[in-house]
Amino acid sequence: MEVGLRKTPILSFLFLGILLLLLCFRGVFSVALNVSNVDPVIIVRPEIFKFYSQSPLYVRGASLTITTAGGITSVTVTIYNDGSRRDAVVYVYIYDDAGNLIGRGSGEIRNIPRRGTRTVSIGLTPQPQYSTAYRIEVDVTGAQ
Amino acid sequence: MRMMKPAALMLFLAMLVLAGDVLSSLVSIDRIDALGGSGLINVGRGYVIVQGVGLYYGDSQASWLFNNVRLTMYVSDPSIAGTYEVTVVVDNGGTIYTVTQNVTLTTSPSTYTFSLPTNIAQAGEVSITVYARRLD
Repeated sequence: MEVGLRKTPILSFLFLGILLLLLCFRGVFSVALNVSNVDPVIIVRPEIFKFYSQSPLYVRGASLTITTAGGITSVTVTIYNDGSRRDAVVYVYIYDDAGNLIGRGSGEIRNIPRRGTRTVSIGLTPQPQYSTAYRIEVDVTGAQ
Repeated sequence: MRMMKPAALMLFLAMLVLAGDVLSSLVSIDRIDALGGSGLINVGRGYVIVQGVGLYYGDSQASWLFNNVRLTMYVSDPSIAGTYEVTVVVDNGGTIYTVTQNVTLTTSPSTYTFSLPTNIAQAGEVSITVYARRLD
């Protein structure tokens, strides 16, 4: 190594030149993220609601009942019936962002009129914290 | 030996510069992950709560069509109340619709209407994803 450098001192100056070029133009090759510009912006993780319907029954809405301590105790679901009068079974599943099931419940709605809506409140077991809930799924099927 | 010293010095300087770049890259990546990852974003003082979602055709839910989505939202702590840019992405059986609007959130639940550009026949599987970004 020492012998090689002694024989070709130009290499060390070339190396220095490349180093200086890198120092001068590093901004061209890098992306600067100014933390002071980012800090005031609060980005909240997305919340996902998924509705699974089977015609003529449609899930039209879901609303969480959240305690002051942040726990989700129940989900109120609105179902629309586009067919003749019938009963329905509603299932609710709540998942965290890793895909783990952290709360579930089910309920039955009787005599949903033709082209009418009904709501049902479904208690959850266990009752997850809102801060851990990532995806809320509601599934409706006709009762047997 | 006399030539070795400047070469070693330059090598040392180069290593310092490269180490600095690598470290700054790592810091930047950590920062981006913390803001955009799929897990819970720790806002430090609370979070935005999307309490409810409803599909509406005009002002009615008694239809298998919908042309607006209504969200009931609030914040868990008064210190993060303010104006948010809320984006709603509706995936109706594989067809995606996106609506964005600014809303002012407080600690009291309020319902906000997000109008869609067309009447949509509800598919068997509908996914509503809500994103919020604080503006002030």
